[in-house]
Amino acid sequence: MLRLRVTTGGAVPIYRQVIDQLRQSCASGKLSVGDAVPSVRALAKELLVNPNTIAKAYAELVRDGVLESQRGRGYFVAAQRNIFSAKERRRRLDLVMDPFLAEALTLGFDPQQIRDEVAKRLDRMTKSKS
Amino acid sequence: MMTIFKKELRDLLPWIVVGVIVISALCWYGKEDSGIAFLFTIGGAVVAFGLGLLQTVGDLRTEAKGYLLHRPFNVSSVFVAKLVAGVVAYCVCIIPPLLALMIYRASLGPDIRPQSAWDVVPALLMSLVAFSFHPAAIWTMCRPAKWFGTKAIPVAVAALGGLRPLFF
Amino acid sequence: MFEPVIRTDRLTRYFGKRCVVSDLDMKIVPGQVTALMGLNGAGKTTTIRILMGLLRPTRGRCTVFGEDSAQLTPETRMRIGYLVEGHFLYRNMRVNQCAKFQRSGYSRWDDTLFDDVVAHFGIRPSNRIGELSRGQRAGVALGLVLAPDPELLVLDDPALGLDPVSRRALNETLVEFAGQGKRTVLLSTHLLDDVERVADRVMVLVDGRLRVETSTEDFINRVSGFSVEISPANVDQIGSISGLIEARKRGGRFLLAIADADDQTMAVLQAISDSAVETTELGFADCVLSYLTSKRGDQSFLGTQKSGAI
Repeated sequence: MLRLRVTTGGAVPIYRQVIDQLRQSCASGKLSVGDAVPSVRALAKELLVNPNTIAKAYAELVRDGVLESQRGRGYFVAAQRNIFSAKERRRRLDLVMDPFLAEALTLGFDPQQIRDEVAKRLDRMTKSKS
Repeated sequence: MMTIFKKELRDLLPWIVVGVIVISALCWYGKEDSGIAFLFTIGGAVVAFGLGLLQTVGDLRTEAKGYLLHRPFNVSSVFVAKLVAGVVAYCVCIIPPLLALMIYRASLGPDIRPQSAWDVVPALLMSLVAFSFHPAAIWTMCRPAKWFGTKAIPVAVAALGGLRPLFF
Repeated sequence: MFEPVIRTDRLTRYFGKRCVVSDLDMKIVPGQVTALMGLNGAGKTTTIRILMGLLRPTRGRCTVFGEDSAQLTPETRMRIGYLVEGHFLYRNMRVNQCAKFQRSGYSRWDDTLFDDVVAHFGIRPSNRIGELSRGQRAGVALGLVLAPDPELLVLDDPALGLDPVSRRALNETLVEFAGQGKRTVLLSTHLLDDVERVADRVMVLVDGRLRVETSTEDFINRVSGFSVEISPANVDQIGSISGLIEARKRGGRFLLAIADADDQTMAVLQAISDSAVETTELGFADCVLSYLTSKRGDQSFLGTQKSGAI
């Protein structure tokens, strides 16, 4: 059962939180290809947020190829397609990598530890998915 | 509109009792007098003014005003509903005691005291004129004027119109 | 484009010599939830009362559904649901009597909806208003406003004095109601969290002036935060930064909230800063607070009159 949570008062807008959490659920295998996600209204009611916010988040996820909308039936997790150019994918990866590595280094981990940790997590994530 | 009328009348119910007592007391006081028109003009004016006041005082707060006035009616229909409720309440206050006074006088007849039941009619008519203080009270309370003097213009008009026959 | 549901044109209202609403120009977009925010006394309730035709403006005019607010016809009033501040109801009525009293004159009245809303707040129809808690009374008031199926909902501080449970019920009802996108909602409130969740658009009133009128998303994007180290000699120059909303001192640094910051702003900041300029992330609540505190002499360090309006 998919459970999302949103918090208010922080720096991350609600629609961004919804997008991040759904992306993560797909990546970690909590949601697999073809799974239905809640309707806009149902999720809005559950999270207690404006339906337009959810609609916007879903629209962005559809645009990015994470979800697909089937007319009259709702939204489903899409099969992974590479809708981005190689360059764009590279850029997006950099966008998340840089702050991650910076944080890890300032916390005092050495490069090898970071590599190990990443490998371990990656293993776990891909394993649970298959 | 009917609902507002009913609500107003329901709210006035306990005060109608008070009005009846006031007017009955006046009847008792003037039971042997033949010139009671003046007495009932003043008494009627007080009762009418009081009823008008009671009907507006609660609705002056901004929330109450917004709640009452925002509905699919014109403001004038709300006023009319209040006015009609006031008329009914006022008649209930005035007519039964005066009727009782008439019956009392008729029962005595001119043989015992030089009075006729018809002596009450001027008092009745004058008290109906005195009802003008009711709309005057509502109007005064709802006027946006700040200074007491300009705010009370409707009451002054009612006084001129309603009490004039007493003096001229 | 679209015809705004509410439009005001240089709306101004004085109480005595005090100007409560000043030259207000606003448009309420149909199908959206607009939150009207501001400190107590900023003019929210006064604005709403003028919109509902309960108070005459000193200057300017406003229209609702294209009709002058001062002369709303019963037909237009039927399309507007107005929740007065403080959830006022007649205390001596029972809940079902309230419904009977309210429904007269309306061509549409949804009994089921009213019953649902009231039940959602845990109230029985036979309860007397005077015996209800504040939150329950809010439920009845909300049910009365929603039952005629209005196209426009004007809510004056609906969350005022509510306990957390009722507040949740209120938000649930609002999300449910606004869900279809056909209805327009204007609500005034102090609760930043609720606005962040529920609103599409936000307006901020400061001292009777409209300082912000935009979508919540745009609002966050256009306000940015900076942390700058400024030596005492340069402090006066803070006021000259264009778009400055608020500046406050935290330790040795100044936290600045700036609207529509661009390269030029950055250049100015670099020039007056003694060390590197840091950007700080601002959430929705921070953005609103920066506007609200900008006029509070005790808390803010500097504020600007002209700039910083969105």
